[in-house]
Formats: sequence, C-alpha cells, structure tokens
Amino acid sequence: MTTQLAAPAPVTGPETTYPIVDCDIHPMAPSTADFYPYLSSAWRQHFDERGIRTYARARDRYNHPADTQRLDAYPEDGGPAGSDPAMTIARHLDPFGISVALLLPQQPYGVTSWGDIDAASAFISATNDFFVEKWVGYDERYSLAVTVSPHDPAAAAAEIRRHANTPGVIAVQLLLMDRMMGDTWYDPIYEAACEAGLPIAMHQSGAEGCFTYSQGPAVGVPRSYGERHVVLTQVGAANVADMVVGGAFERFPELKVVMVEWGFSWLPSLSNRLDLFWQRDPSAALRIKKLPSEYIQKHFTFTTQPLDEVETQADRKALFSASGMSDMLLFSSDYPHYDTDDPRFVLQNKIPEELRAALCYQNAVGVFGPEILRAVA
Amino acid sequence: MIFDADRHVAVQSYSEIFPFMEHSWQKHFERKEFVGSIAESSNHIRVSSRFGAAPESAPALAEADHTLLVPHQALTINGWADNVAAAVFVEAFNSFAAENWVSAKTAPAIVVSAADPEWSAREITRRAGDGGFGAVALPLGATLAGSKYYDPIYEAASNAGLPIVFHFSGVEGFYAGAPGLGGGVHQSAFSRLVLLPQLAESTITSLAFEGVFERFPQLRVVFSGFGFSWLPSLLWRLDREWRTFRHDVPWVKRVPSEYVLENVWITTWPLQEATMDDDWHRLFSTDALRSRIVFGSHAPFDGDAPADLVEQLGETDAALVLGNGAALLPFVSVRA
Repeated sequence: MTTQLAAPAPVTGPETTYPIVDCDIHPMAPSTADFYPYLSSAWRQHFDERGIRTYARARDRYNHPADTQRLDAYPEDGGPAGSDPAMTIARHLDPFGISVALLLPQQPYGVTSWGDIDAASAFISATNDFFVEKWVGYDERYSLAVTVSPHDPAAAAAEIRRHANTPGVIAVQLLLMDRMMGDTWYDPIYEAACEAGLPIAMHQSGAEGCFTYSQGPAVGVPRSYGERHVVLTQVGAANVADMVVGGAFERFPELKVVMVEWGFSWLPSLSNRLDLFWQRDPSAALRIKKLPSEYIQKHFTFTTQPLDEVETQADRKALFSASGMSDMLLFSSDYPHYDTDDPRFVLQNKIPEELRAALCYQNAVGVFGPEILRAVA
Repeated sequence: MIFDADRHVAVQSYSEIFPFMEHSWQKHFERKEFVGSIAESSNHIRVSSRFGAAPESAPALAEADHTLLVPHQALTINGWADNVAAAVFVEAFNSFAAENWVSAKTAPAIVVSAADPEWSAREITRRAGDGGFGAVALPLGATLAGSKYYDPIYEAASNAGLPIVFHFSGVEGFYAGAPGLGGGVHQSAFSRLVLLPQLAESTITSLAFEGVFERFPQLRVVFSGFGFSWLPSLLWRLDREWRTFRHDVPWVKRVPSEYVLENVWITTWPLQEATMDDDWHRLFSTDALRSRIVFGSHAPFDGDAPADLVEQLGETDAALVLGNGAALLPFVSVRA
C-alpha cells in the first residue's frame, strides 16, 4: 500500500530549547528478506521454506477497523509505514525538533508465537543487526533497543552481551510470554542488562490476550479492538506489580525498566494498593523489603503516549501531580502508528510547563545515561 | 442515613443449607471433603494462600440504616467445575438467606450463576417476588459481563429493581476456569490481591463497550471490594478509545463515562488506598465522581468503619459517601 499524504507543515521548532527524546518510535524493515543478509545460509533456507511470522496480534481476532499505521508514513516506493529512515526524519524528527528517537522494532514481536526457540533467537539477532546498520548507522539521532526473545533467557543474555558496546544501542527490548517480569526465568536477561548498563524496555507485542500462552487483560476476552485497547494497560500494570512482588529489584538493584505505551494514570492507584497491603501484612510478600512505591519510583519509568485526554484543569493536575510522577515520565509519540501523539501539541499544551524539561530529556538521561544525547551539539 | 453496601455473611457449615435442597442433592453435597472445604471459601475472600480460618460473618453496624449482606461463600461457585451443582447450591443458599439474614435493616444479595443465565433470571424473579433481598450478586464468569449472554440476568434484575453486585470470590486468577487477572502467571496470593481491581476495570469496560446500559438503561451495577481509586484513570481511557473507535461500536451511543457515571457504583473498601497521597481530593474532584462511591465496610475482612471515612475524607465527603447508597439500595425493604 502506497499512500501519499502531504507532509506536516514544517514548524520552526518547539518553543522550548530542550532536546526532545522520543521514547517510542517504530522502525520497520521493508520486508523480511531485508533481514536475510544477517542470517546464516541454513537459517535463510529454514525461513524460505517456512515463512516468517512477524505479526504478534491475531489479526483475525482483533483487527483494527482502519489501519494501525499513519497513512502519511507509507513510503512512496512501497514498503510498510516507518520503513524509510529518511522519511521518518523528514516527517517526524525534523519537523518536531526531536533529538533522539528510541527505536523499538516490531517485526520481532511475532516470535512470541513461534514454536522454534532457536529460529526465534536467530531471527531476532538478524533484526538487531539490520537496525543497527540501517537505522542507527544512518543517523545518530536513532538509538536502538535491541530485542531479546523470552523463549531462551541464556540466548537472550548472550544477545545483550553481543551488543553491550554497540554505539547507539541504549536499551533492551524484552518480549514476554506467559511468565511475568518478576519471574526468575528472566534473571539471566536482567543480569546481562545490568552488566551492560542497559535498561529493559517493555512494549506491548500485540500478542496480549490472543494466545493461550500470552499475557492478557483480566476476566476474559474483550470483544473488539477498542475494548481490548482500553484494558491492555492492565498487562503493563500487572508486570510492574509482579517485578516488585517477585523481588526483581532486590536481586538486581541497578535494574531499570522503561514501560512503553502502557499508560501511567493507573500507577498511583496500583502503587498505593501495593504499599497499603504490604504495610498491613509484610509477611504476605517476603521478597519485598521496603515500601513497594520506593522500588517503583527508583526503577521504573513510563512513556507518555497515549496520553490520557483529560478535559479539565483539575484532571490535568491530577494526572501529573502524584508523588514521584514527575521523575517517572518519558515523552513518547508512538510514530508512525495511527494514534501517534503529536509532539508539539502534547509537549506545549498537555504537559505542565514545570515538567517539560524533565519529560523532554532529563528523565531520559537519568534512565539511558548522558550518552543518549550524542546527537545533540 | 448510613448505607453499608458490602457486609459479609457466612454459614458455619455447608450442612446448614442442606434442608433447602432435595434429598438426592443433600447426599451429593454431603461429602467429607466438600463440607470440610468451607474454611477455604471463607479464606478465598481474603485471597490468602493460608487456609484454615473459620468462616466469618459480620453483624450489621448498629449505626447503619440499611446493610447489603454479601454471602461470600456462595460466590465461590465461579471456581466450580460442576455448574449444575452450583445452581442447586446457590439456590439453597438463597433460601437459607431468606430465612436467616433478612431483617428490618439487612438485606442479603440473591446469588446467581454466570454459568446459567436462564436459571439465574428465574431465581431473581422468584426471590424478588418474595421480598427481603437487596441486590443480585453475580459471581464473575469467564465470559465478560457485557456479553448478551447475560441479558436474561440484567433484564430480570432491571425488572425487579435490584442492582447487580460484582464482588470477587477470591478464586479469580487462581482456579482454572475462573476469570483470570491481568498479565500472565501470578506467583503469589499477594499479587492477586493487589491486582483484583483489574477484574472490575475489565467488567466496566465490557459493560460500556457492549452497550449494556443502552439495552438496560435502568440497570444499576455495583462493584464491591475492588477499591475505587482506579476509576478516573479508567474513565479517561474508556472515553479516549471510544472517541477513536466509536464507528466500530455504533451501539455505544454516548461517551462511555456517561453510562458509568449514571449506572455504576463502587464501594469504598479499602478506603485508605484512595486517600493516600491526597488522591481523594486530587482525583475525585467532581460531584459526578463522588456520587459513585458508596460506603462498603467489607467487614469482617479487613474492613473500614464510618469513623474511618470521617477521618480520611472529612465530615462533608464522609456524609456524602455514607449516604450515597440511597441511590443504590432504595428497594431494600422489610419482608412482612
């Protein structure tokens, strides 16, 4: 599908002079064949014979009523939306003055439903190499979260170590199956991430609520795409709780986790509930050694998109004023998806002025380190 | 006026309900393991992994004018494998409740079964006709509450003027076949306890996105025991997704929060989680939101008392919340 819409009107840049770190941008390879140069001939033959499932959401179950991609992000010469690094710069980075783009590739998400764990590891490695070369190597504003598979923690840890010193690699994108993030299953991955000084980024894969082994929202099977999208945040919330309750941060005191696209307005309620019940009965969760909210504020950050559309000043204040919230939020747009948050509109109209510097870049520097601003003069 | 919409009642032994079922079913339930399992059902409500506590009832607060009694032991049928036996069991439980728990100030909930909406509808109509009951407690089924599957229950409850009460039984996310919690494999009872509100969030979302309140405008629904501080966040997201996808759900004619703010109530326990970090004043800034929150003591399980409301909400808001149940339980009546 090739759809040409006018590029957004160029703007002179945000009114602020802050660098903007956009913590959720999705790059695509034009086709899965583009990953082939990074695979062994044996794996190329394997995938030639069997095909490559790159899509995690069951599209015959939760099909988007329109298109999950912005129509103006499809390259003129074909290929999926977001598959042209020059176009993402021209349409998104340049017009909005974005200094750093955290790239979260989505083609690996399909491996959550693969049966062959070695094929999953091989494919993921190839995607990491592709995005390092074709995107991170293309422009230094592009920074990558290397993806790792949930199937084989040892292989995932090796993949992290392989990229520990790759310039422009700033995070580890962890995919999940039914085991939650506090499970010791993931410990080799957390150990390698801490050793490499990389935070874990966790983004919905699309598999949520689709398969028997994937995580999903509470109760049952939502009927429609929109309904599922309302309750999808529960998966993020549940994993935040699970890491705290499971003692992940006692085992890895340096571990940092970036929760991408899970929302954040549910956090104060969850955080209070964790604190309240733990204080009432600390013996019910022996791996928790201090107030749960302290772990959350120290170890987690949350990206802003999709920003809740509050309608009153009182609600806007409520959205951002919970204790510790100002230090836990990272700006994100989710470009090039249908529900991209317009950076200029959100940063200038929705984010309280006193939080703007923190959300634009200061909190990101806190999580990813000052090196993420390598492209900023 | 003080309304307590979440007070728990229990039998001391399951054999107490045997007189209200046929002899052959008595023999079915008269098994050592089943009769002995009552401690488990009383403990599920606390979502504890520690079994062995005695079944507990809480006497109604002296200062409460109306009290809705929730027979939590009957709710646990949403973890049962035998759904035929489940209907027999809760029917007997309802008969026991009619004889023992109806008083001038207390009204038990009619417990029904998500596994059998037709039977449930008949049970609602019959019990409502007898009088004395204050609500319909529908244990959460694995099919989301917005499904037309439940319409017979909602129709019967609407006709009877009784609200539907959703209260966890404690087996959610624990027993196979019972509704799960958000995420994947939960490792502890503590995690389940913390994540219980997600059951209410999914249920409200389903009710809204499936247009239940268009089909049953008079239906009143109360979520009990789930806390409530998550409500504003849920409403923001509900409305946003409806704005994006409303063409996909044309049967939802109004912005979803409007239905919730008219047809849904939520009980207070645990109140403190909603007052930490000044959340009550930060988040519940409108009368529309404050009108949704009704006092529910949740006694005897780690409950709140009216004095806790006064202390944490202040006199004015406490009086509001203590009295909000008037809209929810206007049909609480004394059986002659």
